[in-house]
Amino acid sequence: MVRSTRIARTGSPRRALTQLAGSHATGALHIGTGDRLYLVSGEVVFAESPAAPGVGDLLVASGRLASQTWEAAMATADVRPGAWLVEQGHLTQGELELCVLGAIYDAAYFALGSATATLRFAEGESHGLGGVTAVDAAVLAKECARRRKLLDEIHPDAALDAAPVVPLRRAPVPRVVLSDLQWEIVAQADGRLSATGLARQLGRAGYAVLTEVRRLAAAGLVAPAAPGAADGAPATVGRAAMSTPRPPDGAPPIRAAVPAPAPRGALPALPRRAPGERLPELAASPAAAPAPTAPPVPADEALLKRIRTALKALR
Amino acid sequence: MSGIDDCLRQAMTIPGAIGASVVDYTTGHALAWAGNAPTGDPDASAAGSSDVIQAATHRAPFASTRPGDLVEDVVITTHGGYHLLRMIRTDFDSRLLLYVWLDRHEGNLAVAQRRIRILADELVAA
Repeated sequence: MVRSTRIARTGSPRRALTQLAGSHATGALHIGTGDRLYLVSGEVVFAESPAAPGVGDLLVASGRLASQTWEAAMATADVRPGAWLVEQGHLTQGELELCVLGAIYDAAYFALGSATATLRFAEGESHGLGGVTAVDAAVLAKECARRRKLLDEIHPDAALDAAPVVPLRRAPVPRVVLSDLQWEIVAQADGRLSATGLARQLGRAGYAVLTEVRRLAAAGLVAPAAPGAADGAPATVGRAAMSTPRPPDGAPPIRAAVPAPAPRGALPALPRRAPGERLPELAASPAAAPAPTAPPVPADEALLKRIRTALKALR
Repeated sequence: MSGIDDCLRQAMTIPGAIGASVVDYTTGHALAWAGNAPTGDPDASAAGSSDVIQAATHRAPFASTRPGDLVEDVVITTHGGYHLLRMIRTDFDSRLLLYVWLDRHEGNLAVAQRRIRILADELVAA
């Protein structure tokens, strides 16, 4: 059999995977800075991504395994730590397979996500866990594409996948029902962690957290944090500062009576009133609201001057 | 030692079993399957069974009547068959269900429900 495992140095990760699967390659496909897909005879047997919790993260974070047990398994002289965990009675074969399968789909979603990335194929390289399960490369690529489409069907704002998020200070409706995972996200979102950072912190699957963040954003309950909150700025301002979602084009946050442009399909965020400001027309919808002819702050000053003049006239 | 394939093989030995699959209901994707799927479309049955479970667990208050209550399974009865959806509860984070399709005349719902509960539990418990 002719085996060609030479791939382009830069290109589509999905195309590289298809090519390697076609040539029944065995080794590790390195994508970008930290994503890896491990293949055996063209099938994907493992995947890792810095954006997704790994098998060990999932098992330890949930309390299923003590971290010492996981470390002991990975340090064992046995070449198949996964099998060792099952033989020693720490996990059932079913748990191991399901956990590894979940981690493969989760990491592959991020690994295959970019249109183009730096690529390298290390022939013969294998991951540390030993053979557990295998996924057809075409099935995996198709499911990852489908997952991307499902996210956009929930709420078409891809910026939410990477941006730090915060819960909005006020819910847009009087009663809110959250799922368990949504509750964890709202409780942990501090304006510094992105959806993938939250997933790692919570020990939850990365894609599941992306899904729930988009659902929460669609319901007007979380929004991207104010710029600057991500790069180590104190989080003390995080929640309080988030009165309006940041406009998608990166423009400075709009103050005052003009409701922030609502993402399509989302409930409009509640406008906040600055001191001394006039209430917006109640009937005005965000789309119908007239663009302000002057910035809100000078308008306030003008109003104050008029009041002062009127009071003087009363003297 | 019983893994996913073994679990599905045993599910197919339940009287009346036509098809069985393990489905990730985050997105409605079949991770593994055996036998046949309704209308010959495993993707559609995985997506459909996921929608049903999502509706029962997240969008309806069935499991809120008592604190600590949880949805265990959902049974869809049609003129010709039973569709059993059983939650697989892992300690680590996952959203998985075991879906078994049975012929209504050859299958026995009570027997199948019991066998499927044991299979789903044994898959993830020592």
